Amino acid sequence: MAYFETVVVLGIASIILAVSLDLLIGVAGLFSAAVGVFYGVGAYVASLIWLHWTSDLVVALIAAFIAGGLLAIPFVVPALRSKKDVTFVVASLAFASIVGEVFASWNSVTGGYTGLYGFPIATVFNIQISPGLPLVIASVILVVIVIAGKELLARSAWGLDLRATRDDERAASSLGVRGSWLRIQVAVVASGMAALAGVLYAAQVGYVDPSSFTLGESELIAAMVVLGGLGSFYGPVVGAILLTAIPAGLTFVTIDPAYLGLIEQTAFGLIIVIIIVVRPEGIMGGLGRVRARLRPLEISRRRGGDSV
Amino acid sequence: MSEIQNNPPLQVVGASMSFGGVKVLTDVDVTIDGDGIVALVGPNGAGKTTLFNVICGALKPTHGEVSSFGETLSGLSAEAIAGHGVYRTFQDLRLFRSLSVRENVCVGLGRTLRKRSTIEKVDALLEELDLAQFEKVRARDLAHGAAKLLTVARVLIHDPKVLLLDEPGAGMDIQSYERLAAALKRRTDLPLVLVEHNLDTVRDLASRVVFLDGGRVIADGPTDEILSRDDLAAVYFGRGGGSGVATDIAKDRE
Repeated sequence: MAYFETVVVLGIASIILAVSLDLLIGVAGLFSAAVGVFYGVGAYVASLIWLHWTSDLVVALIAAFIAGGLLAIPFVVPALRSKKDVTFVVASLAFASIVGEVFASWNSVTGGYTGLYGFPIATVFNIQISPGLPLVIASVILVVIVIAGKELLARSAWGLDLRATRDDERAASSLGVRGSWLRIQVAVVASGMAALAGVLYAAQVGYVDPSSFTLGESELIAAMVVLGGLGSFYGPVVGAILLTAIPAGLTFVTIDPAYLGLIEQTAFGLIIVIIIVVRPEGIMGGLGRVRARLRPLEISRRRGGDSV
Repeated sequence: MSEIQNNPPLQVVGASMSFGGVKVLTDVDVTIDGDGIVALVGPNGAGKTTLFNVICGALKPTHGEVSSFGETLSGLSAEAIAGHGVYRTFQDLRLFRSLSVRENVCVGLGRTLRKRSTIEKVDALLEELDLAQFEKVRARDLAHGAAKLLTVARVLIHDPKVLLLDEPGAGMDIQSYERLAAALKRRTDLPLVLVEHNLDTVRDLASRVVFLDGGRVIADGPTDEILSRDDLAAVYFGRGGGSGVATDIAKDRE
């Protein structure tokens, strides 16, 4: 059963990552390739705290959120000076490479390629949150808080101003909205959120090394968000569950080990392609829009020309 | 009265602006004293929209000063100028297309968004501009007239101290236009400046016309007087005819 619990906890970590990325893409219109890196930041921060300070899970979560958020600042502030979305993507790629290199090379802190291990089981009020059911329960609580937090933010006045800035920055600023400042804030919050997922990873796996927090991980999370449906409530959740369940399910299929990797990857890729073809706006995406299209036509019909 | 004269709602002094050596505004002085609606009129390329952009911080003038109620606006960002109560609309609408009509109106309201008084104010404004029935419709799905009204609702909710409207009536159906005109005329305390191509709209709304040509103010006075001057009509409809402006106006009148 240990395998199942690992899949569940890492699946929940993926949901948190997807929700965090959806806050960036779906609400603020910013695409970041550095989500996987902030995932790693959270995992390393938690491991370090558990190794050197306290085994408290909540302390690790708070520290990871703050560390992720602070680390986002040197990346987003320069990246957002340019109004071009592409600059932000490229800056996030560069940032991901740099931090990935730091994970691998800062031996005295991160343990280099060997990574960090041997930390105690996380605790909350002296209760051990060991991998297995206790950690699953803690993860479920965390993911509910994260999803609720993201929804609250997206629906707040702050979220509205962000969505307005995403649609038309110039118009938003003419209404007094400080778009650049909001974007820095959302990037900080989303990065902190992604770092929370890393804490779950460290607690479940009990071992942190650079190989889990690569650009490949960021790609996978982006795929979750896009397949699930951008900017929708269930989209990132559904996408994350699906892209966690498919590879996990495939491991139960008996395949000749010589072809296992090949078949797994091909099947995975094919499923993604099929979803994109069948539902281009994502599995949960566009459902609201279909409903809007069914409204009476007169709303979109243009009346007459210039008659004043 | 003297305080208004010293610190008018909007004052532009000696504004000049050039793009790559081409002068689009030359030494423009305009004072908006808040008495009635002022229309900026002139042929295409006269500098009307440029003047709007200079006032609202979208463009930095090469020379000149813009102030509102005695406070300097020059050099401030667009959002800071909005913070001083100077709001504008855009010729090309610039709605938040994926947001609903109600959400469009609520942008920039900040913490007051959930207050009962704000919600009631939004309701009343949507009702006044005939948008209540569309409140949940996405802006991108609106007809042109409703979309235009929404650009006005979006600024009126902020209780502007000065309002600049860029071609508010262009391309509107009659009912929408009448809604708009009534809403603007009702706000007699609000200093209003509009850029308008349609002279019927100008006659209907404005009591004063500032006539721009080639980036200069060439006339400034009561609407009837300015619009009845033949020399200005010649400028407006193209000297000798055949200019693009005349055709634009002909189109507007169809």
